[in-house]
Amino acid sequence: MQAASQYPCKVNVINKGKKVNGKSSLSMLTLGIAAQDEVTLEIDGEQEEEAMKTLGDLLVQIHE
Amino acid sequence: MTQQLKGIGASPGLAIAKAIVLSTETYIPERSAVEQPELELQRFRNAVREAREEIERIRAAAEEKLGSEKAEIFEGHLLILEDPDLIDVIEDKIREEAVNAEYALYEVSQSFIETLSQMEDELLRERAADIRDICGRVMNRLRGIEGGDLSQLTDECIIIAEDLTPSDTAQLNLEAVRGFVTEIGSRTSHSAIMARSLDIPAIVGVGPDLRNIEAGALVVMDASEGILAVDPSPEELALFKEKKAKYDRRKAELAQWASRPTITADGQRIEIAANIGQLEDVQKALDNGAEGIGLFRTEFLYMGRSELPTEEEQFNSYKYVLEKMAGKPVVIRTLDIGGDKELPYLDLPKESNPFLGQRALRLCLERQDVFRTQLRALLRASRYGNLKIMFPMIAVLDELLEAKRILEEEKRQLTASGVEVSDSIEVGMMIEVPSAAISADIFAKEVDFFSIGTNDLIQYTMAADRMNETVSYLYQPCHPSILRLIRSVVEAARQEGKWVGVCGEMAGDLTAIPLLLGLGVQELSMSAGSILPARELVGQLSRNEWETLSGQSLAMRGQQEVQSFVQDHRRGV
Repeated sequence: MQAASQYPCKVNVINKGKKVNGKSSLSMLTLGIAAQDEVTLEIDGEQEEEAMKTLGDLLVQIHE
Repeated sequence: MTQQLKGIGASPGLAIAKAIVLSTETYIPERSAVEQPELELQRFRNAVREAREEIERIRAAAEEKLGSEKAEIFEGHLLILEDPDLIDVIEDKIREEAVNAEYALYEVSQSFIETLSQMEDELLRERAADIRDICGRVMNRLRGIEGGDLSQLTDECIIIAEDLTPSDTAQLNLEAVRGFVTEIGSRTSHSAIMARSLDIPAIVGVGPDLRNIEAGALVVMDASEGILAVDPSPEELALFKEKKAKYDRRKAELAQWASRPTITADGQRIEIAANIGQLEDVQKALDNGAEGIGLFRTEFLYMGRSELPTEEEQFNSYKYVLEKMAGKPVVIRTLDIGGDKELPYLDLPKESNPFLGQRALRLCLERQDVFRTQLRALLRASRYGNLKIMFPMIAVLDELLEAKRILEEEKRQLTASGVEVSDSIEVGMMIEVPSAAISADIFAKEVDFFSIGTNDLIQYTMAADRMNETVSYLYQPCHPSILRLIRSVVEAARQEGKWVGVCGEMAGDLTAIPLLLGLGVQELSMSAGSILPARELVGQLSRNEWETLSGQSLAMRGQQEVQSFVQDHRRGV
């Protein structure tokens, strides 16, 4: 979440059909993500490619 | 009139004191329109700032009292106060709907609290308490209410509350607070965990009956049993005081043993270690003076999830335990799945006799991908401490040789690719299948140590399923047949200069310990809570004497006879 906040673009995280603001740790909690769940990142705006790479890598790391 | 209540003992101990009742009513603000939303926004921001300053003060106090690990909760609280979906949404609401700050705060925070309290994961449900805690603090600031400051309590008391927030718990003045009791919560609630690290008695989850307790009523609580009584009669009170004095004396007596080595009355050194099943158990093992980890069950890494743990994940867990034990021996058992422990995602065929089926190492030799991943993680972690690797459920020599061959292969490959691996890793096996116990002399040439898993050894020797209550009478650790097996295992190991430990329930059983000592077992591994009484007992026993006595017990007719024999002789000590 702190990593997501560094980017000016919008970051959404989707898990089991529910979409929330990836910059909010409270909203992320309500997704109830468990280890090995498949989540989708939706990023839109400035620096979106860079954000996708950093945050994508981060999610994978957390899971390992 | 005396009223008895029952809950979950979350942190053991006994206490007698007057009740302080923390008000549990939640404030529900009314919606009202404001004329100047900008001013209302300012009021909200001030309240948030004040709440932040308050939390920073509590965090500093918690760090001093509880250590930095526990104080981390409050770092989390500070982050909540910066959360865009909470703060920005409240601010938008005030600005756009021109409503009062109290109402906006209540509505937004309540939606998070409701969603989270309905989550399946208990840890996520606990987060709802954090949000309630933090938003309640901001709410009090908005309303100009001084929150009940628990650090100001000066008279001895027992706190009665619906739940205690982490900040409540951290502020407790330990000079005054004798214990606390809550209506909701479980053993894993924040407040329960904190009570254990503060070492004050706590009972949680008593239920709504707790509301009947009035402020100032005399309360006695026995958190070891999870019971409390209100307004006890003079007789009850006298009895309870006696019980408490006895408990306190005993606790102080046992505490002395935490920092002492385990030495028998005739000066022989043995090792008392802890069995652990998850990472949190390590601290408890150390607090209770464990001289090592005698059995680290690695199943927790594999269970309660949908895929196998990665090598990296395992490596981190093993490294954590090895580092935390700082050079003390750590026996890690490779995966013991099967029997009563299933892993749905491995999609294994149903067996009609799972305890006699493809369990533990049998499965690992078949699913070598799983086995090799674990071994690599272990080998890589080995340089961070004193690692010993142990294979479970071995019945015949070929299984052991195959497991060792795979281990060597992985080690060679890692070393060849430049990974540092300790060259002093001991390799041992569990003795839990009778065939292995009977031919221990053959196995002893191929291992560095044996650890006797008595729960399974008894089950397989007696042919009695330990999950089946109708045959539970056959669970007889002190039966001469079991003792004879143990003796022959120790003898076989001694011939080869190898050591033997016991890591089943039996190792912490005060009646069995004198026999195990006498039979020549060098290491006893048990749950952390059993360590201190066991160490105290060992200090009273002469190994020489019990060598003779345990020899005599082998010729007895049954467990009962052995047990009374042990008790008679212990009384004589």
